[in-house]
Amino acid sequence: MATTLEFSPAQLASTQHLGAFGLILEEDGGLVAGARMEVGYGRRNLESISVRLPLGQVLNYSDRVDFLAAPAYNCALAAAFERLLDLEIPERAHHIRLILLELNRICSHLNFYANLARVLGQLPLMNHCLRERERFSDILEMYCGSRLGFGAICLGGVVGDATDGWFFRIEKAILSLRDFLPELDQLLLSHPFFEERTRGLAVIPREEAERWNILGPNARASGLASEDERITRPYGAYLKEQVQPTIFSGASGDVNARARIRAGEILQSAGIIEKCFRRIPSGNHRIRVGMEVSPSPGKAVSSVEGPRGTVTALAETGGGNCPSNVRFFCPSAMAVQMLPRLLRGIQVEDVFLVIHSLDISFSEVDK
Amino acid sequence: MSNTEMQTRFELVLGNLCEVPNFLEGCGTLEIEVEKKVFSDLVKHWTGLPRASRPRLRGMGTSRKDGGVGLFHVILDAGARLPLLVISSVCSSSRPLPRLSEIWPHAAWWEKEISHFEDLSIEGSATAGETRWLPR
Repeated sequence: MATTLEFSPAQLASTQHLGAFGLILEEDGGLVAGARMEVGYGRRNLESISVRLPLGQVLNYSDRVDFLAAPAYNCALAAAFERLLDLEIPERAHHIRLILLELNRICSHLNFYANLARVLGQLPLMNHCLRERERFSDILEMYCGSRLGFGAICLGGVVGDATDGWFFRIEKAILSLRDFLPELDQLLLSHPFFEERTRGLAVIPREEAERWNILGPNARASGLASEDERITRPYGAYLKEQVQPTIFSGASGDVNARARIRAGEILQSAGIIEKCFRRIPSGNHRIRVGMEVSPSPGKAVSSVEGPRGTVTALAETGGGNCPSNVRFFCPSAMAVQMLPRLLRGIQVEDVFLVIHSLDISFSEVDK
Repeated sequence: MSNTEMQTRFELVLGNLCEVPNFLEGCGTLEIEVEKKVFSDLVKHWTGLPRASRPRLRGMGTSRKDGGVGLFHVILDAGARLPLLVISSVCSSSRPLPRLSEIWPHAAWWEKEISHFEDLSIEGSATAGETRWLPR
């Protein structure tokens, strides 16, 4: 006999570290017969608030769209505004933005592993992942004084210049991270229990990933290797760094592939940051833009590769100092759309493993 | 990618229904504003294209203006290294917007957002609230 299991937003936000959403499962014989998601519990209406604020202040709000990917939203919107204002930002600022984006990607992926380890009952590994993430949070705090919503990207560049001391701390953290990744592989990714439980679980075939617009690491785990804005449409300092696609041999689109690909991406990000250190030019980190700038009427679109996939921002101005329209198109919403299909037919105990494997941020779904 | 190759790709996506600017290289976004009729023709054109040649829908949204009349934007990705294409058309609460989820299933999310937050209806839905939501 089928049973209905209801998970409330408060329960999922507090015990599963997922965010505020409702989940209703139809369970039959230990398997999920149907699933339904209810979103909107954490809606903050950030897009509507944005049209009441001057351009410079809107950027601070874009930090809040996804608390785990603040620089990606910040950078996407700043690039759109800069296009509207016809601003050429200094090369050094482009490079610092790249470092911030890649550091954030590492932080976000480590958070992903911490959550995954917790769901699997590997609590010591969860603590190790969080310990590594702390190092990167310290680095970001050293740069801008904040550990989550950084407010590091502003109109015309970045808020502060990067110092040698900061670079030194990043190098040290990357060294420690390189030592940690084999441990992660041994304790989680190559562990026979993990292999057995995740192989062939909640598979997203390549065609389905394309059809449902699955983005970022989830798409790359399904075999869409070039599904990366840094490769298909490079922006800022990525034009010079020329990111290579993540070569991932086991792109089977299951939970295992989605978990494994992020370890490769952490290494890739570390490599990009190190390459960037060697090429970062000297000079100004920003050009001064007044508080009350009014771009000429028009619209601009900009996209940035965030930790969960491509973040697209659309900005429109009508001639005043506030934007007339701001829209964000986020990758997690696309994954949420696909979730009910993925959950059908799996065991009830695997439900949260599958949800965590997609690395959904409900903060950006509800924006 | 050369300017001519870009031009050819955009002509395929737009099906000669609207003009593509002559100079594309280095432009970040290609913006085209079309009339409602042309937009409906474009939707028909995209429906007829084979899946491999179809542009990718990156987002859709509206910007409201006075008197319930606003602009409906569709952001398309015509291919790697090509500027993003923003096609805008006038929309009003009196006339439903074309249903793009027939061509791109993932558009259902944004259609729902538009019908709920902007009070605009989508073609084929009796009321705004009946827009197809998460697949069951």
